[in-house]
Amino acid sequence: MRDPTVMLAAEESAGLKLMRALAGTGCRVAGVLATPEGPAWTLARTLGHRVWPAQMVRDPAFADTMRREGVDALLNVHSLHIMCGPVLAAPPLGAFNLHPGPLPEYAGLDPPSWALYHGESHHGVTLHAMTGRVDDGGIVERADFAIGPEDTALTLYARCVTLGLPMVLRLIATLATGARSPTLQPMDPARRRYFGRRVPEEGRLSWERPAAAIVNFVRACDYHPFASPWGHPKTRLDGCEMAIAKARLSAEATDAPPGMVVALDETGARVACGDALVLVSHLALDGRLMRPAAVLRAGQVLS
Amino acid sequence: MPKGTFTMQSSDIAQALAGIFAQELNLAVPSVDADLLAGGVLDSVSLVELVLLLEKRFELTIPLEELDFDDLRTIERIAGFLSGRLQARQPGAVT
Repeated sequence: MRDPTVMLAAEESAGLKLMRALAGTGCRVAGVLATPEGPAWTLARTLGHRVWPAQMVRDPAFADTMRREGVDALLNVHSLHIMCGPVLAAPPLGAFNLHPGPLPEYAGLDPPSWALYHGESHHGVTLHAMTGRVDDGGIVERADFAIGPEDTALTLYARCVTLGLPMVLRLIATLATGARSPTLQPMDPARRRYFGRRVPEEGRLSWERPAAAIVNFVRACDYHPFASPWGHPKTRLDGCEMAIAKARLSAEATDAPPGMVVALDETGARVACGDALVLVSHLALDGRLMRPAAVLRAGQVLS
Repeated sequence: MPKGTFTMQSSDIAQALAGIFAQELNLAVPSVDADLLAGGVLDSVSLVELVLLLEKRFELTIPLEELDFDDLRTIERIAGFLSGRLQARQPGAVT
């Protein structure tokens, strides 16, 4: 039994947490690929790791660096650079990716947001072996969990990390036993869906849609107090653009035209959608949340 | 943390927070006035974990929409935010 030497491609909160977790193990970190001067880069330097710019994974010559460093396994944790074939093939125990979504159904970018947007009842996190295709390869481990009515993209993302990091640590423990590779479950290509950088509906609310769809879109964009990769969904009032930051179902039917502000109180604005009212509790203006009563008046129509 | 008329001082809360960061979140914070955001200590997942821990420890509900970056910038400011929430919970408090 020998603790493996790993190379990390790490970004975001998940990458930071993995680096901190590995600091308490016998696992040797040969180095970290990260965005120069970003949080993962800075933490890696603080922990005494060698660092390389994240895009080096696209360079076939980096495979020689990995062999020279004696890297047994490459671990990609929320880095979005597509790795070239020689780099993926260099580590003898394999290259693995922690993906914040259930695979193969939610391949690509921003899976927590897409899951909420689609009104899914469950989400998941997947650790898989990497191939030359994005978010493809045999599954090491996948954990699914229920989505609650209060969940936002931020809370789903956080749960993916909380459940996913122990998977990575278990993988490292497996590799340390001398196993050539963990047992992999094949992905069903027929179930694969890929989501790219495009924000649905061009980031704009269509008030004609059902209330549930409106609320799901708002939750899908909600990383408050952190910036959302999708921004907040936008709407217009008298030619001025504003964003909806927080909304929930009110379960009140309406025959008011879609987009109309039917009522306002301290809890928010009741806005008509295609089939019912939604309660908009917060708008986003200039990066800050504010109550609708400060901006809207009953009878106005959002479009 | 008992409910009732006992009011926790902001400095006591800051001390409790320092312990939560060190022991439960495994995050090193050099001082109670260190910038947690610029220093990269408090990232998105750590924030969610912190909120869950605080809700349990102080028996509070902390809606994420009520959090502002200014409330989260240092342990001192988080303590001030929590102190306000705890005082608002006291019997007879004007909210």
